[in-house]
Amino acid sequence: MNIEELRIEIDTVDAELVKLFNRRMEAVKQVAEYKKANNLPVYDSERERQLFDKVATLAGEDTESYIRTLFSVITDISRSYQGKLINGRSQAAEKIDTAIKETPKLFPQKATVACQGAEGAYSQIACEKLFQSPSIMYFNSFENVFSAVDAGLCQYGILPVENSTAGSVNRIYDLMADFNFSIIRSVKLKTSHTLLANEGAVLSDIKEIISHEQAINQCTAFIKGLKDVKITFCENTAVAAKAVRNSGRNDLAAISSRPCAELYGLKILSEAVQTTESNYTRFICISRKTEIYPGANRTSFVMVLPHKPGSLYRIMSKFSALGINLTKLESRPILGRDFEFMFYMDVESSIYSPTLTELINELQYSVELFRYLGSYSEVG
Amino acid sequence: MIVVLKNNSNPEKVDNLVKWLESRNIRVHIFKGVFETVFGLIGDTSGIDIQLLEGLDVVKSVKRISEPFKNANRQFHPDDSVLNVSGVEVGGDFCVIAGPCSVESQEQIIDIAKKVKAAGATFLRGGAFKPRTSPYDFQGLQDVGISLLLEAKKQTGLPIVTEIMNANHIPMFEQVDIIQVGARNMQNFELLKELGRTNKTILLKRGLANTIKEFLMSAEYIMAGGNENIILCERGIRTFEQQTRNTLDISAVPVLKELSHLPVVVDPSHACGVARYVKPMSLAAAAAGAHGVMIEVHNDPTHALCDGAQSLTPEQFLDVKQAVDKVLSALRN
Repeated sequence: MNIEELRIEIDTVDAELVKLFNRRMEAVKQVAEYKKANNLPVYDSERERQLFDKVATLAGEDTESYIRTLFSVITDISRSYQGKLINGRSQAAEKIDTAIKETPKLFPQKATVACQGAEGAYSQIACEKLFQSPSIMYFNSFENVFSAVDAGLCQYGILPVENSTAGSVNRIYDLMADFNFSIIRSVKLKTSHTLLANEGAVLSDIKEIISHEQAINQCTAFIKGLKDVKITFCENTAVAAKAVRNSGRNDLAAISSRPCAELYGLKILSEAVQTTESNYTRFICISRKTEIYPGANRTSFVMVLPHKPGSLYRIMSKFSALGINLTKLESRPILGRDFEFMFYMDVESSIYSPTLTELINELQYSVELFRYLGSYSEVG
Repeated sequence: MIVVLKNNSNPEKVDNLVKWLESRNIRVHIFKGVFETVFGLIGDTSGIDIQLLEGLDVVKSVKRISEPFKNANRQFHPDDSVLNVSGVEVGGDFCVIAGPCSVESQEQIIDIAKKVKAAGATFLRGGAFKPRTSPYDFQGLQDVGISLLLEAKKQTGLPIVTEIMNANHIPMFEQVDIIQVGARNMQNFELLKELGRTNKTILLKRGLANTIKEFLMSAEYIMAGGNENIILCERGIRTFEQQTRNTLDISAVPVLKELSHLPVVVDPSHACGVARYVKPMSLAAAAAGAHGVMIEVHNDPTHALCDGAQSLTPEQFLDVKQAVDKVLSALRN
């Protein structure tokens, strides 16, 4: 057969496959009705195992592994189809509908906002980009920012989630899993660090540098250039500036934002000490209530997948099938489990797009745990 | 729960915190001292996350108060409370409350008022309603007694102290400067609650068989209603000793001052029941740090209608007052 004939052959087989697939889906639908009537779960591990063994035997040695992959996708599709038939729209999809309906059209201008650190922290700069006149309350830890929002002391919380040089702020991802909060907006902030010290200090005298671990990691090249400098971590870059002022020392410097110089009466020893000029930090604004403002084009969720081969692949295939762009995939270990992970994902898609709702519906029924973290737009 | 704020905290942030606490049904008692601002939280604070409050940048420290009395607790109000009663301070300068056990007649009360004032008393006391052990004893001149005290106040300018026995009588005490709650009514909680709704200064006497904690809980009853003008009065407790009517618990003075910010005065007359012990006990009270004493003075103790045995003559009172002044001046130096 020549290539044309081969393609005709493939088309013919595909037509048969589609016909057979539809027939199979019809049967799957009836099974769903049976399961619904008898109150049975969608997933039946015993049945799936038998099915895989049977098709593998039928396939023969050469194509056995391909057949297993193909059927894992087919059973997966069947399962989410049954899930949709039995459960209707997913809770997450309902939550999104309600949030869109109930959220005011305009993003609030005034709010009580929790930030970590002290005045001059990058969170403050991020917060002021989001809200016109925020009343900011500063807390000493990320945990307390979450707790403050949880307890209703603050309406919103601002948290750094990732940096273009130093990567993700893992603690935030772990906390997002502990609290059931919603992301309502994100801010991308160009972070330019300055080295600050007391009035009498000179760069050559600096023996110790204090800052947040993330900031230190963003300035490694600069720090390497200084000789014999001790590094001390503290909870926040603004807190570091405050510590330098309170110490009164001339051999201690802080890596902080520029506004901290004026706020804490420090002098700038060196500007733009970060390793790369394009150093960006992304902050998220969290709320206890799910709020979706017009223009939301990013959606985040966290999920726990079955701990077996191909789980992540099957989930990814759904993104691909629906043409949804995945912009972030972060895995974090699950506390108390043996190297099992949770996956955080950010996707780019308008919240009003039906494919996104479909994806969310599908995901909810094909993973062990699914949590919708919110849909939002980013302020640059 | 006590929340101590950092100096010069942003008022807007502090206000946010207060509003949030109030939204959780917690009353916030704000004490602004010279060096620090203290929030006393009253209500069910079990749901408040201490770590969250401690993590707030405006907060210096947070602690739970184990004692059941909150408003009266010194931790809520680190400085001594100084009350202004009709222009006279209580809790700051030493005050001397003097007068007869009962108001007997216009001549009697006005005569004593003039004499105690001349001797240096700062308040005039006198019973109009008398809680007597026997129903056959003199029960006091009641409303007439109050009018006579007011007349004495008019003539001498001394603010007056008189005892209340029934919440229904509160309207009669409209012009009284300090309403006394006697030892026997210290745990009359309905009366305390009613007095809590007024803004009158209350002189609360310790019950004859009550602990200091119970005493402070009674003050708490009044304060819980919003009235913070309270003077605590130690007047002797019942022990096995029979040589004196009660045993004056001088140690209650430093203990009360440590636990509470409220002014503490001592009544040596009722404690001893014997006139000749009043002077040494008054000196002891002053030396122990009391904010004042309350002494019974009668122009004719042998013919007094009530408690003559413990009453001093105006001359004896002058002697006590001068001796007390010496103790106070010795303490100051």
